[in-house]
Amino acid sequence: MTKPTGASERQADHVTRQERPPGAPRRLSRTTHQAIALFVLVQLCLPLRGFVLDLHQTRGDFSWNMYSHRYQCRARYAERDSTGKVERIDYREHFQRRSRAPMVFHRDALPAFHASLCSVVAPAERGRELIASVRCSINNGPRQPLVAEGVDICSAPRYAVLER
Amino acid sequence: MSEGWTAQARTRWCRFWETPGPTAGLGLFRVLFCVALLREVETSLLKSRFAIEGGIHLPYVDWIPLVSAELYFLLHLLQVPLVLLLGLGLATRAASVGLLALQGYLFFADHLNFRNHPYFFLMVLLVLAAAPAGDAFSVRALLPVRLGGRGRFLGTVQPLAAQRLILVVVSLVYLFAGLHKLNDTFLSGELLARQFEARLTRGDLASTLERVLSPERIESLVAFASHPPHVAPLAVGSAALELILPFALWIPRFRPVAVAAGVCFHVGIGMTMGIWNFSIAMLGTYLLFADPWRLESRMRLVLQRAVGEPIPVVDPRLDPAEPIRP
Repeated sequence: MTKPTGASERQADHVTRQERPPGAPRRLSRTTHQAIALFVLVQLCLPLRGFVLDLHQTRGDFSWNMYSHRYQCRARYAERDSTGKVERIDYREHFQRRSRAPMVFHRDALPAFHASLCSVVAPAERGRELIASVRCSINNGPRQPLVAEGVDICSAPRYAVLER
Repeated sequence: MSEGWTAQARTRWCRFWETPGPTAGLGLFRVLFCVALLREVETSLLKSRFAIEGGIHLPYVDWIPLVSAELYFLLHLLQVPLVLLLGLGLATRAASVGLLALQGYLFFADHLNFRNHPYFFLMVLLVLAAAPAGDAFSVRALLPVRLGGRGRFLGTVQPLAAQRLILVVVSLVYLFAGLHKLNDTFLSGELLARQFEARLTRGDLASTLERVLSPERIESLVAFASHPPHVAPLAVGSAALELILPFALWIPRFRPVAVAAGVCFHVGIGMTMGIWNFSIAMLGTYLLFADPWRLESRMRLVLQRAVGEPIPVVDPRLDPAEPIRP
């Protein structure tokens, strides 16, 4: 028996729909089933990243991580001039919401944050460098540095964010 | 052998999504969900500010533009009529798509706008956009056929795919949230104790307590609730509940207890953490876990008592005298 082609399948389905008595169960199309399968697959797979990688690597967005961990960071950003004089800056003042600032202290978000900070603060235009110290701990564990300390984050590879 | 397994799996898959059921539960859920959506508009106005140009940004993609503060406000204002349309069951697909577009823009404009609750709302809106969401409990369903309506307020019988998709999302939310909580710091009660201390000493709950309790009582309550060993059982219980609910809610025998526990859980979250929008939405989904046939017949009874006359059944499968269940 040969498999029906797409066109004859649709024709058969149309005929079946016409003949179906009122109240008979409605079938979903193949496209609908595929869309459902894709949706379920995404819902299953998207959260896995938050379990495979730790909080130093990623905040775990889309993994339904809700108030489950204690992630503490001590972050300091400063401008350093050519004489070596260091002046602290309040990095949070550049956030539309200051309370969201700690969201950036994960290795996947830090490079983008540093790029944005360098663009906003623009220390190079004033002959200065931007240095940082970011140390974080997961669930009261030992603090780990996420950023290379003492280097200009605006000109360093990966904006001075440490791989591990 | 493998062909037999594949055919069996395919049949079960199709049966799960194509099983027909009354849309009354979906209609009622839609109304409750819109209550949560309406409340969320104000929350989003406060918390999605990284869609506004200027300052630090962490875009998902470079081509999503940022907006001015005025346009940002307008994007929230535009959601209100769409939520009302969806709630009334008018142009539900268009309203859902519109809300998806507006909320999706605000959500994806910047990584820093990410919150779990809007993400959940987006998933539900995506399903509602493709679902017969306006089939029941809607203005359209209320209007008689001669006026272009459906004449069947309690809806019809359709495949339960949309309802079950939402339930799959809810189950996965509980499961993954519960799995995240399996760590010593959470289970020791430390995080909950910190939350309680913050809520009991600052914000609206603190203000309410000050009106009701004496300062000494509040102090001893704070001292108790902010001590991790005192709240550790609550922490362990909440983690266990989140791991049990994704299964218990699907099993009819355990469902009543699971629903009761879930209601206490979400009301507790609302009171202790001030998170009501998400709680309302999640509790609304419990309607979808109920047997849709039983739910429809209960709603029919309630409505008949309210209007004082029998409500005609428009689908033979809904006739209580001759229930033809699939």
